[in-house]
Amino acid sequence: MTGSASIDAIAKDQPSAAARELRAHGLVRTYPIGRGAFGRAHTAVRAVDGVDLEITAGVTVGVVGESGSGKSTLGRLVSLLERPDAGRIVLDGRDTGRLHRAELQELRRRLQVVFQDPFGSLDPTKSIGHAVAEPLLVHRRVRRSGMATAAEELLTTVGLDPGLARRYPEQLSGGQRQRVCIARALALEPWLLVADEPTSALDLSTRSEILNLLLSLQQDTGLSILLISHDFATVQHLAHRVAVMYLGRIVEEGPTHDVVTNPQHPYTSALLSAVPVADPPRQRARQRVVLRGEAPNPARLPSGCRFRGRCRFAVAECATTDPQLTDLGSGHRVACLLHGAVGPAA
Amino acid sequence: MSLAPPPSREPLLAVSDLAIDLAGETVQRGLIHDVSFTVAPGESVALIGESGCGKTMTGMAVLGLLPRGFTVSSGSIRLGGRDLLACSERELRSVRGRSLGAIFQEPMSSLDPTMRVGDQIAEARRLHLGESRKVARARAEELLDRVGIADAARRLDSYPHELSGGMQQRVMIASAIACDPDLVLADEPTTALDVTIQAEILELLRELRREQGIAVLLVTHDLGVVADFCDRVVVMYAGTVVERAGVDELFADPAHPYTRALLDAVPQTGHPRTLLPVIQGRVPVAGRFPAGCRFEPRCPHGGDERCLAPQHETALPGARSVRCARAAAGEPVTRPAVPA
Repeated sequence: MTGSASIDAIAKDQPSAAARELRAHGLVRTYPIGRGAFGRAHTAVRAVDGVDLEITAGVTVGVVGESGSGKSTLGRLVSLLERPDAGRIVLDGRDTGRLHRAELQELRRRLQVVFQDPFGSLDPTKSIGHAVAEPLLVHRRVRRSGMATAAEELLTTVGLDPGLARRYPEQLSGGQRQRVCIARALALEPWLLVADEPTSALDLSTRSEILNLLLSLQQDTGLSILLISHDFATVQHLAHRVAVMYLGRIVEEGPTHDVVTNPQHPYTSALLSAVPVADPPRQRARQRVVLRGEAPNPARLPSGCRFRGRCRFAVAECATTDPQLTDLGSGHRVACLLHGAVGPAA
Repeated sequence: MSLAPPPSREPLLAVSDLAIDLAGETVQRGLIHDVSFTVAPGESVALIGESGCGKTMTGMAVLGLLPRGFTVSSGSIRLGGRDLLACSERELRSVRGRSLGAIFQEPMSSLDPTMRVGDQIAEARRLHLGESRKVARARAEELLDRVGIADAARRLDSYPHELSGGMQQRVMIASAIACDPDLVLADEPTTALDVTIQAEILELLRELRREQGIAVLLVTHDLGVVADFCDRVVVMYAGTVVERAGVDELFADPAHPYTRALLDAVPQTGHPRTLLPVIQGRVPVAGRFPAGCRFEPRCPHGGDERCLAPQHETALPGARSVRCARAAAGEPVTRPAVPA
């Protein structure tokens, strides 16, 4: 059995495009903090606090937010690397919370993860060829003898010289390593790639190469991407839809163009206005929406809207009502009692 | 509103023909080669380029903090008319504390984790200005307040780990400006921070420039930050300066093919989901630079006979310069190719 034959075999038992769907409902993930003398947790932080997410075939969904927003935790939940404390994830029509280990293992290859740090993600003692084809070996898609061929094919898919298969991670640049990580993630032909800050550790010039690669892969294979990033520019360039997270919640979500040009949540406006644009006259003319104070301690969230302490539009009702996502039409949703009151970011 | 001072003023910092070698089994010459630029009082100058182009190394040379084995083999670095390369280690320490402040990317690796932040800031004033413990502490409180830390009196007794990343960076700025320096070197000061915190830190640095006339030499790879904060830009590639220009001119009309390529690598808001132009290849490893133009192997115009000879800096109209024979001859710079 050769590597290429085995890859074709996988393609056959891929779910059809219609089945390619991930739906997450009411996800909650809590982490204990501050342990007492007997190891019992004093308090808990809800890193993800009631999040719904939907990803369909061939679509890139971006998740943006600052540190502590819960975007990476959401990524780990969706990747099935962690189990939610509440809520469920339905992948290709199957509720992942109700599956046995073996079934979950089988389902898990339909989505794969790429992390920020291409240095920490690769075993320095294993050759690039081994790193790339290892998932195939683990899932018994190839034999050891077929690994070299499979690895070379995968490296070609991500635009690398197949000759790199015999090299080791330390001999590669950051951009090449990130391509290797993407090649390995693609080995089992997932339909969904979860990419957590895939370009943050890379140089400007290398970043554009990885963005191009993700775009081409999507065009050629219909791959879906969940792109988690603090970098609005990257998300804006790649994502069809974007979700903005603040303290464990999605506060605004919709088609990227709508959210960027016509943000409805005051936090989205502030976040967008803080991203400097690489155009000096335009940047000088922009008005920044300044946020008051720092984000509240996630273990002691305020009542009502969790953003209200920093919001310049806050009214009395914001302290009593916890706003839920409301559809403004055309699939643009916002969780703010005053939605519509916020103009586009200057 | 441009904060640029009139160009007639004497430069505060003048780096001229700087060259840095690495001593080892074989001496590697010209890791940094022929680097010249100036920073005027109160001005903000960006040093940009990919990793490995020598931005940080140049900054470290200005601070007199080159790592072991690296030596300045020629050129000069003058700060306020004083030749820093001729200074003794003792004199340099005094310059670093008083006239020259530094801010780095990781506040936690620059702040002493065992020392209260008030003591760290006060130490500089006691050491360099000979202030008493009490006076220096009062001044440290003012400084914390100045950099926007709420409840400064109480925060004096905090340890660095008790503060958020943004607050740590504010403490580092307070300690960098403790002795009213003329110039602050900021090496990727906001790279580790969230964008809303980055905007606040840049606003703080802007205020310090406006109110205290502090000049800033900003090492960064973020072109948005350059557009937001800087008056002039020095573009480095493979250890040399390839272009110097005012920020508006540089973004509107880059002269060097490398600058053009860097600017084009930024995703444009109007064209989502389109392939971006890429710079082929990689920055050459230090010590293995091409004999001619160092960018030639990656340049869309490479292969021209003129590119095979070492390139010299040529002055352009409007206080600009470029290190490219083609650009100096006024030939247009095309965009790098979009991959097929």
